[in-house]
Amino acid sequence: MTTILVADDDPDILELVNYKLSQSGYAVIAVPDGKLALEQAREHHPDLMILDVAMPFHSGIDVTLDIRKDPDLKNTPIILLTAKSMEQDTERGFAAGATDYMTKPFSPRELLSRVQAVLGRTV
Amino acid sequence: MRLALVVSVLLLLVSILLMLLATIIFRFVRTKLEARSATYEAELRTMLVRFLSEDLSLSELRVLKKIHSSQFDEISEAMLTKVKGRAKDILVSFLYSRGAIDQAITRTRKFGYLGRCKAAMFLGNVGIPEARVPLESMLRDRRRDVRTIAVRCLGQLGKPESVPALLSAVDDDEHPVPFGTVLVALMRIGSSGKELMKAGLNSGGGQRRAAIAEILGMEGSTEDTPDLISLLENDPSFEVKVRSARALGRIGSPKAIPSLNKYLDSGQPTALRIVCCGALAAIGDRETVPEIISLLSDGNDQLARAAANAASQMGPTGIKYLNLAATSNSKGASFAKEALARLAAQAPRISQD
Amino acid sequence: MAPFIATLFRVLNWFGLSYFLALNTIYLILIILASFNLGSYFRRKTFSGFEDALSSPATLPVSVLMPAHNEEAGIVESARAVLSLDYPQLELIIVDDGSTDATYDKLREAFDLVEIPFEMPEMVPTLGQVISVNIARGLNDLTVIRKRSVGKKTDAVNVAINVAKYPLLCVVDADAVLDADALIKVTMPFVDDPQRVVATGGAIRPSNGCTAYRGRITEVRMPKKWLAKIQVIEYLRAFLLGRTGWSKLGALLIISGAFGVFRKDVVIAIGGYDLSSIGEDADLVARIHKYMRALKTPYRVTFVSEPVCWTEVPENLTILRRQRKRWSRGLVDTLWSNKSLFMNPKYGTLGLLAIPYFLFFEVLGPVVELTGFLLLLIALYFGFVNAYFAGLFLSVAILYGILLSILSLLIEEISYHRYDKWKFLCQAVVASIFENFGFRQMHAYWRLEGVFQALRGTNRSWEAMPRKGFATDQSGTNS
Repeated sequence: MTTILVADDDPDILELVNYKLSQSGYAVIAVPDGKLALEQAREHHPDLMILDVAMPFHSGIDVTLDIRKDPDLKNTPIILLTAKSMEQDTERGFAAGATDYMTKPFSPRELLSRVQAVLGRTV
Repeated sequence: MRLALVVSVLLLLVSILLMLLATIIFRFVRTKLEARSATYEAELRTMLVRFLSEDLSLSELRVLKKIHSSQFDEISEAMLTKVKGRAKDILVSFLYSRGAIDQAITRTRKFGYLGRCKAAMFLGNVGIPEARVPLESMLRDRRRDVRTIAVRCLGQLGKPESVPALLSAVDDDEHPVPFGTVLVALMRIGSSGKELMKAGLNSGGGQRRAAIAEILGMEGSTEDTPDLISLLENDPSFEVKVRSARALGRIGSPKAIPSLNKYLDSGQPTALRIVCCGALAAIGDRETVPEIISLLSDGNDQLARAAANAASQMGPTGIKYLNLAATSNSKGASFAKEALARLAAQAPRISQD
Repeated sequence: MAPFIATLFRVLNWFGLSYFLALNTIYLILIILASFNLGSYFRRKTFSGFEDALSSPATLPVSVLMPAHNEEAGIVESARAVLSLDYPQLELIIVDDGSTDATYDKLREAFDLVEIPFEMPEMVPTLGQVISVNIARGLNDLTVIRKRSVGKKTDAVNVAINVAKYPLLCVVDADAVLDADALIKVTMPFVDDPQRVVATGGAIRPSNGCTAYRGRITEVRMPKKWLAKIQVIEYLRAFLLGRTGWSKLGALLIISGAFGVFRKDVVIAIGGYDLSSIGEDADLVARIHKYMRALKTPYRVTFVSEPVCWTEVPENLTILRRQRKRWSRGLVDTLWSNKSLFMNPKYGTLGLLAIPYFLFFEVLGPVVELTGFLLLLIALYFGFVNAYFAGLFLSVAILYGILLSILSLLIEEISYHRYDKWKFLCQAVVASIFENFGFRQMHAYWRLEGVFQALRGTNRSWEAMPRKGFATDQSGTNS
């Protein structure tokens, strides 16, 4: 089964994403901060990560940087999810190695199709 | 005298104890309430999410007793700002069916200002067209907070019809609103409100024109260049000139070059010269490089530095001229060297991407 | 003769007591004012629009200035933490002021620094010679300036001001730990009221005992040492509530050097930090007030109670004494060099309330407090007053002090409740009581020493405070 790790400090969004992806048949690991995201990623080697940019401890961008440095995880696709629609965040995100990018407010359906697209691209 | 002292000692003791008690009770109640609502919240959230994902119908949701609580209202209202598309439509129609929206429209006229704030926020988040008129009338509310929220919510609503009201709010000295908030609101309304915005150029104060210049720059459409050029050249307000120059740089149309060039002159204020210099660099026409490089020997160091950095962003021609300037023994050589070094420090990241 | 002396002692004692009551009542008023302000802050919190500010073109970019002297232990972490603050656009300028340790090498390694040729502008005066200007390769907007130290932190900050490229300046201590949203919250007043706001300050809290991870506080805890616990209460009362109160009166005089934001054009216009000043933080704010009043345009200097900057406070008496002596000396120095503000109606509440308060109560306070205490002892010894009376006198004074601390705790409980364990609350209550026995008297003595030093006029330089720092292991606990 395809495993997806979701990290967001907003419980509403975490639950929304978690539910939508679980319903679509993915195994979801949901965590509320960047530190846990890294720990869980190292333990479970997810097939995809969805990260909020502004999270406690590590921003989504920091986590992305760390994942890209980790030899076991460096090819994991990462979708960044953020409230900021500022251009430089997108730039920083992609420079850090993010695969795709979505801004909040978001549509759960759109997220699902992006997830499928990203996974289809890498498999 | 002695009695007075004794009484004050006792009074102080009693008030200390009372405060301690209040602190303890407050903490006790707060922790209890938080713990209770936390358990509830998770349950309610799951239900809401299932409803939004269309795994739970409205009639199924209604049967559940727990949703008839103010907490469920709070959670659904919070969710409004986080979703869009189909999920948001479902949520809005649900709130309609609960009467929450009509209630909020009535509440915009209520006495308590917090109530008015909440109502305005809610309407802005829901984003229904009916909210526009009550929100616009809130721009003249007697509380600054309410006015600020009304501005923000009109932005979220995104209706071009609210542009004139927002623009007059910028100029309204009796009912001031934060300039930055109006900018964000106008930015959110975006290009659909542009015609109305331009119509606002001919009336009102400098703040309004400054806002319009900023927004036109962010829209970045070349057809606005003539309007901005005329603002840069004719506007009496310095702030408007600066913002127009920056906007022209963002838009990047070469048509703006002659006017921007005019404001590089030493007779102009430094701040404006620096902005024009940056704008010319952003337009990036090779022909303007010599003009910019000539500023390196200007008496004002701030401008010279800005010019060197601008030139370093203008591709091979800029770099060629900077290299020349760096080897000369003119005063600008050190700024040219600095700009080249900065560019070199950025280079590895550009090639890595 | 004896009855005369007895009466004299009586009068002096009563004077002492009324002085004490006046001091505490002023504080009580400040705290009550602050609680109103906190109340409205909290009610408006949901509508404040921080999210908007993060993406607004009106949010001004900030140059964060961080002077550092022998900070090799934590400098890289501090720099990373600043660079990852939630803020749309910021640059970080670190001034390595003559460090003799590896401060610079650590930074060079971590951020891949490269030296650039740089012509130093002289917008504000500086003394120490600049050795090199270095920038980070890659995405981080970091500039590290190495300079020779002249023993003044203000000189380092002035150098950074000269290099700063953005319209707002935020001065942060190298050992300060900022909450991720602290910067955006402290700059919000500039976004909301860009015409008038010229300076803002944020709340400072002691970081001792807290756990940190990657330059952010993860769990707020009470410090282990009682000396630090007392300072937690002190910071709460004076820096959180006291300053909120002054800010509400429009008479904020001190913005802590550990965390404040200023408009660059104003700072440059007044010539930056005064290199000869000892109390540089208050001095800067006082001169900003003077400058703005002279311009005759409406302006605001605001304290924002929420943004939190955590800083390590001294845990031993020697260092605490040195710190407090310096503060007191700095205050005297500032009041002296800005004496034109005193009772000057042109300066509104600042000249008529804040400055006189600082003079009569903060500077002269320790003198009155200590002499009063001594007089009471003498009077008691010679039998001019009886023990019962003396006891009552002292009880009123001490209980009033405790009352203020407990009230501060209550307000903290209602508003921020950062110390959320019952154990911490108990410790805080005990500390507010203990503070009045020993610490208070000692503190008065140190402040007095500072006042004397100021009158004699001695030099000041970077004072070393050995940092324990945070344990930053993976589990994030601090032992």
